[in-house]
Formats: sequence, C-alpha cells, structure tokens
Amino acid sequence: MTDENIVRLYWDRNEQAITESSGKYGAYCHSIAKNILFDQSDAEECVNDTWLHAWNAMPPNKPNVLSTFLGKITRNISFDLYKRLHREKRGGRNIDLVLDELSEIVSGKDDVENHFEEEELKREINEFLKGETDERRRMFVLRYWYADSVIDIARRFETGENNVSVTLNRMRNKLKSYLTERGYDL
Amino acid sequence: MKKEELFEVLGDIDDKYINEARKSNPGKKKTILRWTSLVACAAILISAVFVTPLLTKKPAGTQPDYPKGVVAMAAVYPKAVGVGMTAEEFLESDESYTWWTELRDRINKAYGLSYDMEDYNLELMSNVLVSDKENTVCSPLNTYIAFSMLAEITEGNSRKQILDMLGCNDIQELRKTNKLLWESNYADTPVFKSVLANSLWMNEDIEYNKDTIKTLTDNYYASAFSGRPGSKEYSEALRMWTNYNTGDLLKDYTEGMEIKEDTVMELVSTIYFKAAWSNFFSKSLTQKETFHGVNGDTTVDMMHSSELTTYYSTDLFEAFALDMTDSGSMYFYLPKEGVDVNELASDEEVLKVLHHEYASNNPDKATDAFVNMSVPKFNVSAQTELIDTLTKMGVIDVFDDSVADFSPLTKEDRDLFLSKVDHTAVLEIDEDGVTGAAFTEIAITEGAYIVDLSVDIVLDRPFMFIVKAEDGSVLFSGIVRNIE
Repeated sequence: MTDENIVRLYWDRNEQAITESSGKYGAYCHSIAKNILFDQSDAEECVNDTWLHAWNAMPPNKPNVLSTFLGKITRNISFDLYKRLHREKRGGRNIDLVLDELSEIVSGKDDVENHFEEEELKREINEFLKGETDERRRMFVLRYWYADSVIDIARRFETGENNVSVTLNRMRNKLKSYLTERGYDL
Repeated sequence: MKKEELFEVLGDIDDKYINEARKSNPGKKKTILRWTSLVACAAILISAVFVTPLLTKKPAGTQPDYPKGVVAMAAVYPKAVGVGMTAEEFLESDESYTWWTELRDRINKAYGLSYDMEDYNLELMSNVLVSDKENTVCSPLNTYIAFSMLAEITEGNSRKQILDMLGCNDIQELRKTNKLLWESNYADTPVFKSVLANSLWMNEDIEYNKDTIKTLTDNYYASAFSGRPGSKEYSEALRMWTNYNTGDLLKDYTEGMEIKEDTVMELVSTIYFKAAWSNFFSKSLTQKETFHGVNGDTTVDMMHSSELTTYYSTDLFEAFALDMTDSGSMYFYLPKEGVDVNELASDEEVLKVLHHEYASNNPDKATDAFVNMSVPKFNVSAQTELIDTLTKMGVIDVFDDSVADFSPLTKEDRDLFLSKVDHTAVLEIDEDGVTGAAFTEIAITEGAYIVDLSVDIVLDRPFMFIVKAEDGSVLFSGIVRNIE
C-alpha cells in the first residue's frame, strides 16, 4: 500500500492504518528501537507506542515520507525510554558508544546561559551534511540517527570497520569546527 | 550542551538524509523478492460408456492452444492485477490499494465458512496425512471444491452422502459457500497468487443436462471441454490445462493423466498458490544442519529467524505461524517429545489454533513470544488415492454403479459410477523468502504490551504444517517426515 493511502487511513480514523503501518514499517521501526534499547521487549514496546503516537499525530500531520515520520517517533520514544532506564548504568552498549562519540562535539555542560535557537542549529547541521559526499553523509546518518553499529555500517558499505571509524571520527571533528566557526559553543 | 541533547537535535535532520541512508547501495546487488510456491491439484474421474453431442462449437479459451478436436469454453476468471509491475511497484501502487480493499470485502463475506468446514478438514487430514515413512501433503480447500462439483452432478442418496461429508445441509448452501470461498481465495497479483480453476471434460458423443453444466460453469467458474475420450489429443489437452493451472509444478504427476475411452465426464479442480513471507529469512543466517528424518539423518538448509509472534504450546505440540504478504499464514507444528507426528493429523486443536480468538480464549496455551525459529527449506509432494478416504468418510453409493445416482448429469440411461479420485499436492518453502514486503498481523490492535517470553523452536525432526488463507480456509496441510 502506498504511504499516501496509509496516511489517508489515519485521517479516516480507520484502525487498519495501524496494521498497515506495522506491516510496512514495523521492521524498520523495530531496527531503530533495537539500536537504541538493545532489549527486545523494550524495543517492541516502543514500536507499539509508535503507532499510538502516529494515531494521535495524524491528523493534523500529513507526512510526505511516512517511513521517516514514523522512524522519528520511534527514535524519540526509544531514546526517552533509554534515558529513563539507563540513567545510572552506562557501559559498552552500542547506544552508549554512539553517545560517547557525540560527547566529543559537545561540552557536556548544562546550557543554561548558552540558550541558542535549536531550529537554527538544525539548519546548520543540515547545511553541514549537504556539503559532504553521499557516502560520508550516509555513514554519519546511519551512526548518529539510526545508531547503527559500526560493523553494520561497514557491512552495508562493504568496507572495513576501521575505515568507518576513521571516517566518522573525521566527520565529528569537522562538524565541531564547522559549528564553532559559526558561533556555536556547544 | 549534553551529548543526549545533541542526539535529540540530530533526530530532526532532513528527512531526505534519513531516507537515503538506509537505501541499498547503487550498483550493488539488489535484494530480490522471492516466492514461496505451493501448488495442488485434484482430479475426479467418472467412467462409463456412451454417445451424443452437446456443445456448440465456440472459439477456444485464451489459455493454452489445445489440440485439434478438443472444444474448449474457458471460464472467465477475474483479471490479473498489476500486470507488468514488479512486486515492489505493485505494493506502492494505487491499484494495490483498490485491489486489497475489494479483496478485504470479499474475505469478510466468506468469514466463518472455514469454521463450518473444520470437521471435513480434520477428517480428511486424519485419513490422508497419516503415514509411516512418507511425506504427506494435501489441499483440503481444493478437495472441498472438487467434491462440491461432484455433489452437483449427483442426486438422491449419492448426493446426500457427499453433502454430509462436506458438512452442508443442501446443495444451495453448498453452491453459495463455494462461490464465496472462490471469491475470497482468488488472487492474481505480482505479490500474491492464489489461482483457483475448475474444469469439466465431457464426451462429445453424450448429451448432458444443460442446466447442470451451466450451474458448474456459472457457480464454480468451470471451463468446459468437449472431445473424444480415449483420443491422444483429449488427454493431451487435459494435461495442458492442468499444467497451465498449476504453474507446471506438478508435471511429474500429470504425465500419467489420461481421459480413458469409457469416460463420461471428468472434473478437474486446481489451485496455484504463490506468496511471499511478510518477514524475510536472512539468507546469511541459513546453515547446513541435520534433520532427523524418519528414514535417518539428512543435511538440510536450515533457515533462522527471530520473530515476535504467538507461540502455542498444547499437550501434543508447539506451534507458531509466519505471515505472508497480502495473504494468510503458514503454521508449523512440532510434536512434543514422545508424541508421534501422526497424532497431530487427527488432533482438532491443530485446526483450533488457526482461529483468531484461540489465543485470547486459551491464555495458558498461547502467548506472545520472541520465537527463535529454525525452519528447514523443503519441498514435499504426494499423490493420494482418495477412494478409501471417501468411503471412510461415508461416501459410498457413488462407487457402486447399481446405486450411484448421477441423474443431474445426463438423462440418458447409463450405469455411471466414480472410478478414480486422485489428489496430488506439492508444497515448498523457499529459503530467504521475502525482503521488504508489507503485510503482517502482529497483535497491534490490542495495543501496547510487553513480551518477556522467548522460546526456541527447531524443526529438525518430523513436523506438521498448515497453510491458512486470509479467510481462514485451509489451503494446504502436510507432514514432513524426511527432507532429501
């Protein structure tokens, strides 16, 4: 079924919308939740919550790309649950590694004073990504949006893990200086 | 800023970047949708001797080019949908939406019929699927349709015995049931095929009752053929039609098909089914593993997957189901240690688990779980002679020419009887099945829940399977005892 038709089902308040969404994007959303949570049942719970959130979000929303619309919901819910569950215990899980990598870009301090426009920041990051090659941009998004493991990314690009790690490392440094140059002290 | 906040900010990057990241790499091998192919065919032959013509010569049907001397009136079947599209294109098309909505309506109309067919299905399975060493497989729905046509051409006690076996009160009810079953089970799209076909093979020298023939062509979508039984051409046409309607998958068995000289009418019913898994088996996880068959150990391609699904555990078996895109589900039953797989063939709970409400009514036997499944690739086929089975199921008169009543067929005075009832079926499940397809029935409607059970099921010894259509019909059932 087309995304448009699924969205139409949501607007029609037809519960089939949920069946169709989970049929078409269940696996996709599950893969995102699993990367962030690691625990099968937690991930499943977040995916199920995704449909509920989608149900409440449509209408008013009419997303053009349903996959990312749903994926973003899953990512948010999963990350919220992650923060709730893992406030104390941190360790070598995939998502922890992803966050540790991101900590190289930020100071780690609470930004009470430095309260900048988040929308502005998002635009800058999009600009930064636009300037990258397709392959590097995809690697970055897979790692920091999907929280895919380095080994999965390496497999996708049929390259070595080391190559992926090095590429990501360079991109983080580049993003940090890109943002600093534009006045962001993260 | 904290790293968690940055992670959240990154969550809102441009959709197109998120989208392109997961796309397969250009120039690299594309994932190909693969099919599960299933096929079955049933044939019923009625033999006797005699003469007189009925059919006006009409142009031959659209399908195969039948040999000279054979007159064919092809039934009009629903048009294929999404012709020329790939599976992916079809799933994204508006045509798919319209087709699916209409099918949904037809399925709703047929809903519940499968419950009435349950006694018949169980009785058939308990007769056909039991064996010591051989693999067994049959298509209950296919035989049901074939025997319904048989009921149409009989009268009196002969018909009553068939109606009783099929669990139907009268012929009108049976006719209506068949029409609904047909319409809810007929599908021909790039993603899913469930193609039913019926045919009548008449003797050009016999005068048939036109009303009966019309009933069969109208209500059972039967193609009508007329020719000279015993001729090479007529038997060749029969094989062509059957091969065409079973996707050439049963050629080994159709070779021996023939319309013998003394045939008054032959009825052939076919089903061709092709569906893709909703959730794929990852090819990289398939391994060579041992299957402990009845005839000894063999090395098989074992597919592996982990899926959130309903896990059934009864006194006799453990079971789970895999969904197919736009279609029904396939159930796998592994007998518990110490239980003979033959016991499952007559266990009514095997069919009860197919009911949607089974899980909620039997929380002690059905739970949601992550099933770590190991499923071997297999291809089983079997030809079964059904005369004994019919006799055991109470259909007796039609086999005895002194009492058999085939009066609806022809007014001519003949001693007709049923001389041959063969059922042939093949079922294969294909390895990595489906990638990127889209219809599942995970229990989303019940809302969010947490699953904490995880079970392993390894189908490495004889097991049973059932392929259930979306309307609940049992399309195929079988027992795998050995895998070559």
